Amino acid sequence: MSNIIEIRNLVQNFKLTRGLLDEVKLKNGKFVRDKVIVKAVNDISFDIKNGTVCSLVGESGCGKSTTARTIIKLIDPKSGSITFDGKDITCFKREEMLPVRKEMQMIFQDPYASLNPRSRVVDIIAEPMLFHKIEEDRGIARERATELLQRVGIRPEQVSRYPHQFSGGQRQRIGIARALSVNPKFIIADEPVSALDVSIQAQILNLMMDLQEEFGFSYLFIAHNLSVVKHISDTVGIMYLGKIVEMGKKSDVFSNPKHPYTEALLDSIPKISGDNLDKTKPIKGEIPSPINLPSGCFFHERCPYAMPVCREEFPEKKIIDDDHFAYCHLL
Amino acid sequence: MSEQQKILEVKDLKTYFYTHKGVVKAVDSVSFDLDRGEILGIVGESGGGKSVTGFSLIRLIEEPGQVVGGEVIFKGTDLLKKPESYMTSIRGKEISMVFQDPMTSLNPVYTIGKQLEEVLILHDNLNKEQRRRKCIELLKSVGISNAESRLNNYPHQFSGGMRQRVIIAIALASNPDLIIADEPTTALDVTIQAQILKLMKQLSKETNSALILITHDLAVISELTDRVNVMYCGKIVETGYTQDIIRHPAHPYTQGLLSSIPNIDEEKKRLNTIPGIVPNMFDLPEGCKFAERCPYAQEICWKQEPEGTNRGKRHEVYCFFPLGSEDSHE
Repeated sequence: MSNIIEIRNLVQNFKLTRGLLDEVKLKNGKFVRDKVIVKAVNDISFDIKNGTVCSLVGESGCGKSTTARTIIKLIDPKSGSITFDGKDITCFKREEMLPVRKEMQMIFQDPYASLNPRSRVVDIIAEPMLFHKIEEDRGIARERATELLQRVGIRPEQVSRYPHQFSGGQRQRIGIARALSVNPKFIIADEPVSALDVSIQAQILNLMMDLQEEFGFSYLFIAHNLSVVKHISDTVGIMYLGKIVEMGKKSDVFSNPKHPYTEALLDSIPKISGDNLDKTKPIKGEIPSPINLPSGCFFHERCPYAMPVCREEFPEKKIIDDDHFAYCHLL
Repeated sequence: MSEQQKILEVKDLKTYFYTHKGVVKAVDSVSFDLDRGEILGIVGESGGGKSVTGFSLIRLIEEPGQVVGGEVIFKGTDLLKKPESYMTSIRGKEISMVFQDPMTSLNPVYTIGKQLEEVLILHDNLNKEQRRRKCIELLKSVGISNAESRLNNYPHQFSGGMRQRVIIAIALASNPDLIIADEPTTALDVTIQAQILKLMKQLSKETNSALILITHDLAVISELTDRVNVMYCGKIVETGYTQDIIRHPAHPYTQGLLSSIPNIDEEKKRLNTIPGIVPNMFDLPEGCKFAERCPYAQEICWKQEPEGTNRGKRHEVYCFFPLGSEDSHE
């Protein structure tokens, strides 16, 4: 099976200070220049196989959304490489990216903000087809849009309405139809169900899985809810402070977690059985700031198994089997 | 159950919102009670009326909303009949609240110490030094280290989880008999959520204060609460001991909610879903509000509102054809 996405040593960071004046600070009677940089994604590498669902999961600020936005090049990476379907797109300019965007689409978290409020729903779906010259004729594009909307559960008599006339779940269906309108090979879904009520969330998750089987594209699924991730994914990457600390097939990661952070995350989930929190001990502390990253292993301050070496050195990649790897000195 | 143990009794509570588009019956004839030291969950989807129920109990409903009927009997007194000044003396002292958003429920221009102390000034007779010691003790009890120096910090110097701890400390400051927590961990990350949930459970048991936990997350309900009310369109559709309800849901809505959550301990190819969406609150159907989404609905469900049926110890369900009974269609 070939890879649709290959990420190598991807780095992304954001400078918070603007210009020299903002950077000069008085320290111990001396002026020093001090740039404030948020290190959002720190040297990550992973592959996504064709036709599979890969999830990145982690707490807020772990860099999962930044990774997604960098892969689709809404932001240019600071270093590293992105290979999409065999092409290295790392240095592609805006014009070069246009044909790639046809193959690579995105579904956003907020179904309220990601649809143009002044556009009829049928046009929201038809527009990408016309733009990417999949259809030349607006009438035909609208027909296809209506079919596609019907496939995601929007009735034909509703298609000339505006986004505000739909509920949150329906808007997310429209967002999904828009992503599908250009027949992409790869879809990035950034927290697509976290704004929805549970009964609607289940409908959307089922729809996303049905469509994937039907059209055979691949997903990169970004989420913070581990139960949702376990339900939808083939492979799962656990992120912490801009690093993938563990990644592998979902069965391996969930039933045989190797990194203490993965273990801690699994211990923290409230479960319907009602006894997970009573049985486990929550990890202490909070996520450190991505501006001043900890030394050594980024997790050592919160890790119940931390050893002296963890403070000094970042652990090397340990392969557990085939596709399962983790970064931890214990392994 | 002796009367003394009961701390709160809500009877036939109705809170309506009179908007220019019509009347929204956000809470419609809700009745339940609560024992001392008990943790009660209120669960449902958005628009179910869970938060409005919570706010109605301490009469924090603003225009165009109005509590139009019912009784809220707290320690033997009907709060709905008391003047506003009485409510002011009770809020924050005997009944306190923890809100969802830890970023906005603290005042950004006062130190944490000042905001904690305010509750003690209003509701307790302590001198300055005693108050300071009490504040430090409170911060320690919610797991904030260096409590003494943290007193002089402002809210922006705390993280989200720490702020929620401070808010819990404020809620506990005057040893309330009842705490109402409205989605207290929804804005928090999962590892922090686990810390806060454990803390709330432990503190409620230690101080013997009753807790009403409002959330949309059934897993949180299952981890934390003793009993639960399931709400749909302003009504309680099922109530009972949490583990009874989780294991043997009797209302089709409860069953639908339970089976639409991805369960981390289970492999399922597809989730079961509840078809359709929550009905428009301006134009609620007659009869059972869940009928149009219910797989078991029959003619009577569209015409008449179901009465409560007893399904075991403190387990009531509002459905004509409850699951697991002889007439059910399971």
